[in-house]
Amino acid sequence: MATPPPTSGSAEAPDCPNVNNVNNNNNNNKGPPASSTKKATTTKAERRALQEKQRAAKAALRGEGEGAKKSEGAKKSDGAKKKEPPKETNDREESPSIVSHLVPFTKRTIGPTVSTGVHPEIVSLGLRYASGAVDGANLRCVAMVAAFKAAVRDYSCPTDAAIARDLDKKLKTMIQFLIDCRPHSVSMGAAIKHTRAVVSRLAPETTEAEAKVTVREALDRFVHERIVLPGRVIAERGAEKIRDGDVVVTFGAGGDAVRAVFAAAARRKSRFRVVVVDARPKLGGRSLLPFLHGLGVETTYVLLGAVAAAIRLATTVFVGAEALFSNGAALADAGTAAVAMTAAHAHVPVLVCCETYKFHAKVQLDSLSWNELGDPDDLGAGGEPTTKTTNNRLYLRYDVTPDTDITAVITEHGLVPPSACAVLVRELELQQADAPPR
Amino acid sequence: MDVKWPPQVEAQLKKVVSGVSSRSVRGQQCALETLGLLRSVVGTCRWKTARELLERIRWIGRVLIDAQRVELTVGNVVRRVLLIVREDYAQLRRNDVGATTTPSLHDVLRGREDDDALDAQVPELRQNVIEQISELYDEIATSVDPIAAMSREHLHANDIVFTSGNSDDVVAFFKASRARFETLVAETAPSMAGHRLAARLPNATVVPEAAVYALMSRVHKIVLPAHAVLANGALLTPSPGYLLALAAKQHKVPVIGLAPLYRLCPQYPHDPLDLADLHSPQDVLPYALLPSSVKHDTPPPQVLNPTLDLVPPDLIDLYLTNTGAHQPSYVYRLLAELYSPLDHDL
Repeated sequence: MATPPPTSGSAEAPDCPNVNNVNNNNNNNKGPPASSTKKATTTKAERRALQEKQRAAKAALRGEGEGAKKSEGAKKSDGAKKKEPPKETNDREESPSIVSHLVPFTKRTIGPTVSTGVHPEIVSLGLRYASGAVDGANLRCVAMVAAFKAAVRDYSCPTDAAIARDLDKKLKTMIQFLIDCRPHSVSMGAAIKHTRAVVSRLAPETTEAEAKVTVREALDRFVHERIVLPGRVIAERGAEKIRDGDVVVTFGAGGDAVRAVFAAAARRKSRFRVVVVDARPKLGGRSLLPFLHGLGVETTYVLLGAVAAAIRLATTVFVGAEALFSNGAALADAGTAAVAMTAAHAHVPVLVCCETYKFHAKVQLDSLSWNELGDPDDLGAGGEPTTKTTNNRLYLRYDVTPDTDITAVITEHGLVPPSACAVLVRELELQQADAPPR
Repeated sequence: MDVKWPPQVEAQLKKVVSGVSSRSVRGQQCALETLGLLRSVVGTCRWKTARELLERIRWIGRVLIDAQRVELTVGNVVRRVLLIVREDYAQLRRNDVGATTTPSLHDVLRGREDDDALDAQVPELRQNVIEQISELYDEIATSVDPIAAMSREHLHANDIVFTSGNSDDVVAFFKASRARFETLVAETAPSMAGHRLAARLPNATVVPEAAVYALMSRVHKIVLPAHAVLANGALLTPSPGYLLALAAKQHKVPVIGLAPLYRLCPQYPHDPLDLADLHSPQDVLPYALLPSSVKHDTPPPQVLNPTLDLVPPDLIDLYLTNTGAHQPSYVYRLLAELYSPLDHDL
């Protein structure tokens, strides 16, 4: 299985000069250039072939650049020469063979961009994805939709083209740019699918102004109906499950839905304590502590190694999820599965808060069939300089919690068992198919 | 008990106490230093009967345990020496009196040794006990060798082995295997001992605790160092040992504990946090990051930093000791051989 996200046609643009361009112009010498990592397709051989092709395209492009602007070109080729050695280090097997099937981590630091067709908002968002400044399933999705809206606002259709097709093409380029900055999440996949469906349904006779309004409204509606409103419903449903005297365990930053649950429970004046289990290298829980403190909720903070101590205190576990697969498994920040397992072993109920737009028809049996590798340098042992020579490090961003460790999933459709994910995915697809064209 | 120690013993006692209480002496080193101290006590102190000797050794044991409750090896070594004294005494008495070596039905029914018997004076006792202590010293000093020798049976080519903490026993165990296998080391936040362990091993990859569960489906074996093995067969090991063992259980991966005999304790676990060796919360959450007190009625977060995990016996498949491989259910039997039931409470 490749990545979970790629939905119907989520931007598998065959050639994307902009992105290559961007990577080439990487004057920022912080790290090796993004070796044009196409979305993990099927086999390694195919990926290699694709990489070769893209390198060739890059080389051709570089030539053009030099022809056009001399000083720029010289700078570029300089940069390219400098980048060559670090590129090799990327190919070096840094991670053990267990993860050799995953796309190796490449630092995507992108310098000033000369890109055609990629809206500046999208470029800025891509950079923030790559640096980790925008993270979390909902935030990444909402930020992307906002950038799409800006791109649509500033879009102008060539006179000889059909707007539905031309806009779709432009969007595809931009989506590919975002994906090259960081593989897209399931949440983003859902929004992309929706956006492109809306665009493809634009009637040929619609004027540009009308089309823009239609698309922008549809995007707003998506965020409101699939993310904002579900978040409110989940908050109330979840808060009903927190009673006076409860000790609730959560993991990491908690995610939007989990935070909303805590806020709703605090509004109901429930007296409960939250045990925040946190894990390196992300340490998202450190941002959850001030949030809970602000709500007036008492907290306990432990690292994942001490999860047993945390679960001994617990009455319920609330965790967020990046995606829910139709076999009932939840993709979430690495460490979530360990918390859920410990809780399930101690017979403490595990509730996963997840909006249904993150439900996905694919299945994943373990955490390694698909995963995203993070920067191994983030695992430096506190304080000491990270020397590459010391030892290998492996940073997995996600893990998969099996359905057996999940008691229930809190969605906007109520509390459902994880096995209901397949049913909901199917029902929602049917609903969308029946929905009148917007 | 008001004891007058010879100056040499007094000095040695002070040294050992300061070593264990500052945690600069740990594990095997701690066991050996305790044993060295006890050898001086037996050799240089004035005592006439076995009872007096036992009393002195007990007193030393209590002082050392009070100095550092976390270091359970001290108590174990003291109990081993107490058993040596008891057995040597009984042996010599039997030789003197010419009594039968098999206990009579009367003795068996009484259930315990006749306490009065300990008051007889046996001149050879001192020499015998010192010899036995020296043997025990050698056994502890070389205890890792037989364990490391077993690695050839357990680690095979292309295995992926997961471990945590930073233990000399684990390094010796891995290095003794001729097979080429991969090692995954949990980084053991916040002490980061895993990084130091990985630096000592070839072919090791450090992973954060968060990835333990994700990687478990590809792992073949878990090797955990023992801080102590408790009477019910539970393992006290550096965190995140519990996480490793539980994830291994879920994925049916065998868990091996490396437990030299001096790590076997006759105590039973009650509250896991009692044994957890809580360290400073500052390492887990720096004080600077505590939420500022906007609402004064909300107390600041409670931060826990346990460094030892209690792994229940049902999560352990095998203990490798210097006398062979044993199941956790066999630990009680080993304990019966190592310690006298009279010495469980010092």
